[in-house]
Amino acid sequence: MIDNITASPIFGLVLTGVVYFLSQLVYRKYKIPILNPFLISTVFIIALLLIFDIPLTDYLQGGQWIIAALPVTIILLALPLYRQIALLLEHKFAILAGISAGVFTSITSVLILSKLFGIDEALIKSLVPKSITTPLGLIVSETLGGIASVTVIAIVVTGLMGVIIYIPVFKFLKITHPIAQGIAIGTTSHAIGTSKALELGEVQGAMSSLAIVLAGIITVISAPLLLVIFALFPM
Amino acid sequence: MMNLIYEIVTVLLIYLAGYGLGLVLPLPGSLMSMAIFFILLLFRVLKSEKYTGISKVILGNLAFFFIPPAVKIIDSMDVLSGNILKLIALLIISNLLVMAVAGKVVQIFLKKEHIDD
Repeated sequence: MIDNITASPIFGLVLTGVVYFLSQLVYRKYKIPILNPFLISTVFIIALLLIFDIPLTDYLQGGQWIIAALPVTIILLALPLYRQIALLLEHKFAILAGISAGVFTSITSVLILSKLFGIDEALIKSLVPKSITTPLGLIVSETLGGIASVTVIAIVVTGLMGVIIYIPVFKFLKITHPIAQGIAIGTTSHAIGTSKALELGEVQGAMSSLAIVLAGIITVISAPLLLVIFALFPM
Repeated sequence: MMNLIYEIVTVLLIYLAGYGLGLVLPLPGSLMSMAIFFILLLFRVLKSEKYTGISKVILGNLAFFFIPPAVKIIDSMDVLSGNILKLIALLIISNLLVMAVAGKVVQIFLKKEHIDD
């Protein structure tokens, strides 16, 4: 009887929806970054599946439907890009240089540090897109042959770290310009950082949402090049 | 209601067009879809102010869509175990570097623009 219920696509859909809704209520009440709705929802669902011995395949019957909607979320990213086009054109060189430098730093630091720490190749490939928005990060992870779930979690942990580290980084390096602050937060910590950038100011928020899309696109386009690098220099 | 249908139908049509283009071009279909949507917005074929219903709800709740892919981590626990501390150290160092570089480069370029003016 219980098995029949969990194997229905409705189970995964409803479970995800209800848990996400409740996690939003908790987050709105306490407003602490670590209570990130995504993070608590994921931990809660994993715990539930393990405790009640529900197979992952059962959960994914409904979960697949949500995963299938991911491309639609990517299409919608054109909206923040379009809405910030005037600011982008005004400072195009500074913005594009900063985001490209950030993306390059992200990818090379992952490769070098992984090599230093002796991390498995499958994990390295999953970590490459850690600083970009999840739907585009999943494309990069898939192209490189990474593990999707590791990528998603690395992206969210990165986002949460960005919300914490921007204070000392800006202070220490005297990054005071609102445009520089917004681009730095968006390029490092995508949407989770952007919610914080919006609290710093309107320009920071707008620049951060612009950086999410552009950093994501630049990373997706560089992925095939990385494939060549992986082929030439096996990790 | 009409606006809701406008949002859903146009986005799904763009999705299909991008998916088709993705089959013939070496770029991911969803990125092609995003490009098509952007171009249509730029030329005002589609009006950005109409995308404030379900589009806004989805963009405001992106995290919801990543829960199922993340729950799949159950299947990859063995790859992670023993690597957790290394991964956290890697993420901290890398993120500090990215934020410093991106912010500093923008600021330096902005100062140059200012001087050029």
